[in-house]
Amino acid sequence: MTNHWTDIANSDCIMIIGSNAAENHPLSFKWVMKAVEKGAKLINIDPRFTRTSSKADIYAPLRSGTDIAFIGGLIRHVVENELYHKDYILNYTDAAFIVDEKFDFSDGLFSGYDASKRKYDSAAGGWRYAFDTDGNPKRDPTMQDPRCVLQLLRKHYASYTPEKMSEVTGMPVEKFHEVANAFCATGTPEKSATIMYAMGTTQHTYGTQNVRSYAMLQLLLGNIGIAGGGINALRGESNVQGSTDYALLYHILPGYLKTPRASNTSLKAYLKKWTPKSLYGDKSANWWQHTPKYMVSLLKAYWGDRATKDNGFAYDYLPKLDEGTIYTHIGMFEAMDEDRIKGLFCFGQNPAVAGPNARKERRALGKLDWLVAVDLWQTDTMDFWKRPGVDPKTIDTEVFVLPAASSIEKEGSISNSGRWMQWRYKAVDPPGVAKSDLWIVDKLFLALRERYEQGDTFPEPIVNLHWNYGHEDEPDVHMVAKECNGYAMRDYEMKGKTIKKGEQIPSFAWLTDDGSTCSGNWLYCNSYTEAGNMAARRDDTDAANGIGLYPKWAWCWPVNRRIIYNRASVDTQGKPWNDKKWVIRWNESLKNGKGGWEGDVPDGGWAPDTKYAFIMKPTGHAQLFGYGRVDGPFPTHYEPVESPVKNAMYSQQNNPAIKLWASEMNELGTADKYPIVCTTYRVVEHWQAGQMTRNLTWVSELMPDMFIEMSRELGREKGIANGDRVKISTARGSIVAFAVVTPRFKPFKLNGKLVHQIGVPWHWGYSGIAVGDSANVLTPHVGDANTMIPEYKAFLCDVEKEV
Amino acid sequence: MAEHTFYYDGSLCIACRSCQVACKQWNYLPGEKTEFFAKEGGYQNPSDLSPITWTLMKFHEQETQGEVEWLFRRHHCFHCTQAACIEVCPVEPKAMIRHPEFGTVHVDQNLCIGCGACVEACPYGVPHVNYELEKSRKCTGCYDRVANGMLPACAKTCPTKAIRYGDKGELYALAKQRVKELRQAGWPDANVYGPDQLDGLHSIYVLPVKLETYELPAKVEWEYGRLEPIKRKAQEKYAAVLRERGVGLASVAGGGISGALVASGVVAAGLKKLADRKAARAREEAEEQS
Amino acid sequence: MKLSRRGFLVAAGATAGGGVLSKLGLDLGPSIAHAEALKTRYARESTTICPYCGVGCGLIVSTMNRNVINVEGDPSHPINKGALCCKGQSLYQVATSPRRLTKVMYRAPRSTAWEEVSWEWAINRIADRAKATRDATFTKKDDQGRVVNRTHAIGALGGAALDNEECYLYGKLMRALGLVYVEHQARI
Repeated sequence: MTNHWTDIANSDCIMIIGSNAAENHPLSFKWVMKAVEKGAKLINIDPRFTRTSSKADIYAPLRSGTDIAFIGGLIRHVVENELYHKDYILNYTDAAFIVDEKFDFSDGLFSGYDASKRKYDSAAGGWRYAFDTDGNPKRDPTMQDPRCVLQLLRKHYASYTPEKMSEVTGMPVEKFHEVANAFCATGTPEKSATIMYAMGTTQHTYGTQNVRSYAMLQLLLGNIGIAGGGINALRGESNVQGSTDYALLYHILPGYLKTPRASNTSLKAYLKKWTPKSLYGDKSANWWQHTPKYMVSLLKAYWGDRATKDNGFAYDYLPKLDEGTIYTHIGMFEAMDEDRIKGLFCFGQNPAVAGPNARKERRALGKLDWLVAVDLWQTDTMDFWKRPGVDPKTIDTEVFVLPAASSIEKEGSISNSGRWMQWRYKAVDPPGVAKSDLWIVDKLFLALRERYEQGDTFPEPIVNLHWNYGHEDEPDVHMVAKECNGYAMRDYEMKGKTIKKGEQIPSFAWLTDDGSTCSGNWLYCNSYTEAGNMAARRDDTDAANGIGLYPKWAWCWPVNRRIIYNRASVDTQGKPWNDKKWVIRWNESLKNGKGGWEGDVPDGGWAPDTKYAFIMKPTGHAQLFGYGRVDGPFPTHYEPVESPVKNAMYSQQNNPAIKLWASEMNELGTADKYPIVCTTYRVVEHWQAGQMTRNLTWVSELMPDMFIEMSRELGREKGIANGDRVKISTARGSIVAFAVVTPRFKPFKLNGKLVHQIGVPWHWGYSGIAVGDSANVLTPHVGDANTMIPEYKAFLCDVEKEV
Repeated sequence: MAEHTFYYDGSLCIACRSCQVACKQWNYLPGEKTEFFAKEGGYQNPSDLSPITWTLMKFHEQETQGEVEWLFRRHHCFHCTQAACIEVCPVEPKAMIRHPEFGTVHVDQNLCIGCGACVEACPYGVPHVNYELEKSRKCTGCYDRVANGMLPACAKTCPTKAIRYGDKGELYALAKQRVKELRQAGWPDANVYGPDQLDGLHSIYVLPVKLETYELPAKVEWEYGRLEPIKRKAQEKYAAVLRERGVGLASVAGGGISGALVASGVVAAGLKKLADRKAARAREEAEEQS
Repeated sequence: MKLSRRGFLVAAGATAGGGVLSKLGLDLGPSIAHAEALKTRYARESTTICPYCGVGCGLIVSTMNRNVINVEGDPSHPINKGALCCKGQSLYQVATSPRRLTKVMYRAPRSTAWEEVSWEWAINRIADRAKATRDATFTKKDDQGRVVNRTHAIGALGGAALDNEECYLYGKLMRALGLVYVEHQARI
């Protein structure tokens, strides 16, 4: 989230799209309804009428997978009618930047496409700005140059008319106008609108571009950085924010540092490659220019005194990615199924239910030599060898089940969607011999170190690993948290102040690239300082601006900034766009007349107009022109890989940059056999792959059985009534579920053609007290071009009554 | 102190059903074995209130001129002012009792004999007998929490404040005000349910659409004709229970104070003393810490 | 940090009432005359954050004799102000469920059943297996002679349910072992 949960109450217009917030983030509705009570409009875009829709002022249906056609329509509406916040886009975005003349777009393809490789060459395609002689992007402050970003944007979305939008999405034109009138009215400085989204947005082969389209719309309307604005990803797990910040993903190291590639052959080469150069000189803060300080501090946290200037701070110890290998979840299971992965550690994840193409992923687990599964419950994943229809005697995998402590049986912090790091306390001991994950990781490490102390294959990264967390049986979680923040490795001086060896680093501005500091995650530097554990704070008084920032409650990254990009909430003189709900403002009288910011922690303390607002970007400007993505600078409508219709906008049917797997069990279905659109989703009563709810009687009572939701029209066509058992089939497999026949689903009319859509929740599996077929048996191993997140949200199926 | 009421606003409810679980949690009620969904129109489960389910979310789908609405109603004890359950309860003193301060109605689990008269009499199908325990079970109004300055479990846990609890007069007024707002905001049929039923319920609803949608009776009659036979049958059962326990029937029939009742009176007095002691301790503790 | 008994009660009254009741002029302070025995009266209380979705609601866990007796929303918490959804409200059952894993278990190749093992045995055996797999598959240099120091034969999954400090140590260990297949729920 750029903003945070309580801030939703500040909004004048809330669009919930790709999310069923009332069901999957119910407490968000405390703040949504608060905004509504104050007069905000609530808009919900969803293929199905949900508990969220039931509270919306405007509910507009949209066929799964057509977000860009819809948002593109809104962008067109904003640009054509000049509803954008002109000062904002001129000063804070790249709208006025001129784009390289080679950049082009035609019939669904950007310049630079190489069909033989199914890849773009962005350099050849001219995906960059046009630069002046100083090497800075050229600008046209009138934003009239046909090659400026705003005009290219206008051109790109010119064809996204309400009628075309309707033909693609199935959303009635009049509904579109209702939404457009409500949402796009927030381009004025005093109004704010927010977008709440979740996996309905991301789980597509163009999921990243879906998100980008939201961000672009919000930038045009000047809604980023302000109270009640932003684009807000609603995260589905209690610490999926933290575990991402802590980089349990192949492509990043803690704090979103890049994982070294094989081609980054030394620390120097790595830093050269990944430290961006500032454009526009001093006016651009270009925060990532500090990459060397963060990377070296991380290496110091990992290898302590063994990481020295002379050995490149032990950079060689880090594993390097092979540029040609796909390491994502889907890639991992493809490799596993091809017998290339032999062992798997699985901490609190249940891929046998949650993974796409679950039959394939379950089969792949059987190719492991060993599986270590850590959980509170007997999960479908650890039980994979005795799943229905499988003879355990044919499965060679050794399985270790390690019982883990629950959240109230240990101490530590988690980070919510709004980036708040909050401390939890231990209330009771875990049951039986169950232990915290911290204890388990520690014991595994100690056993491995003991073995590698005897030598053998490249033992150095293990035996030299800095691992000092007290002398108790359980590692001291406070010592770990202090290392994450970082402390001084020796006495050093900065900004006229001496920090003594062992002292906690006050914030990441104090980190160094010379080995004086360690920090396990620079983004969390400031969370555990000499003043103590910031995440444990419980003072619920609000800040001076009274917009619900609660700056002394817990702690928020970065540096307790509650609304990020907040320099865009003021004009270039530091005056808030909206005085009534200001986030930060420049006060000349502060600091003995030198002036200072008040309100939220600003995006850098520099005086107004000395730095551009978007400090993380090399140009200091937010990018409407997203040249960093692999599938094009402007979001473009493509059909899902499995779609019932031809792309009505371009002859390019699908995202041209996605990976299609040619291996076994990767069949794709076509509309002649599978004419119905299917999507997956969650319900409030269950959680994710079910292990945390399908074992509890109170919530299982509410939702005991797997079900499918379908329209009355489809029910009639197929002779299916409410409560019937229904078989749902895709090219990957079939499942059986109870039918919910409901007016909350309606067939879509696409250019005169009737297209049915159904939906299935994906929580069920074969382990637990509430058991049922898994929806992910149906889903494909295809993913987003940028992230490889699976296309769970739109694929083809057929349904029939079970006899 | 003025009477209390529960308050439920269907225009704010997101049917997350945390009230259902909060009720089970505070009252240690087990989960029920259910299958699929109990009713068309949504996700209702279990199928009805029961000895182990005291509050329940009901779902209604409605389509008008192509626009779908999904409506919710939280069903639990209405804590009626004219409470048929109290009227027919044969135990003396009544096992079905009105909280003297809050006006809510609950079952004294020590006194109840599980005769089922309240089950038969209730116009809303609220109480249910646990036949193993021979006790009638239903929403207690969380009088234990309320007496200790806490909100009832369901009202406290409600994310959107669709469920509230508090002063009856104030919440009755709020309901009226809210209906006015809803009518202006495009819900012409918004209405209040509760103030006009059975001399005013201690659980009222703000409903955005017509009452019929919710399968609620607009008119609930206080029918002595219907209640009398239930009461008579219950009194006979009570007499039988007393006989079983070796207590003379005459005293009951004569309406005098039976031995059994004296005994329970003693117990009640004892409990009261204990409660007074605890209350005094609470007061001291509060003073100490303030 | 622990809330005093009074902290909970006062907070419950003040905050819950703050929104609804005090606005309505109702005092829901302890009603002495009819005070009832409250099951949480002598409980020890500690705060926690909900383990389900990413909203991050606060809860108060009440324990007696080392057992959880009640879990409900933390009225002081700015996000949920005492409220919870049905999952958060079920946390009591997570703590008390007889279905929780309480033993270390092992399933041998081709076996049809679990067997109970000790932590020591399991940790040692896992370390042996992980080391053997790593050492047999470790790549120091790639085809182009570049130092890569990695293994492609071990994967690590999960972490969204772990604490930050656990994620950090887990990631640190996996990367020290040379793992590059490190993934978790955020990718799916």
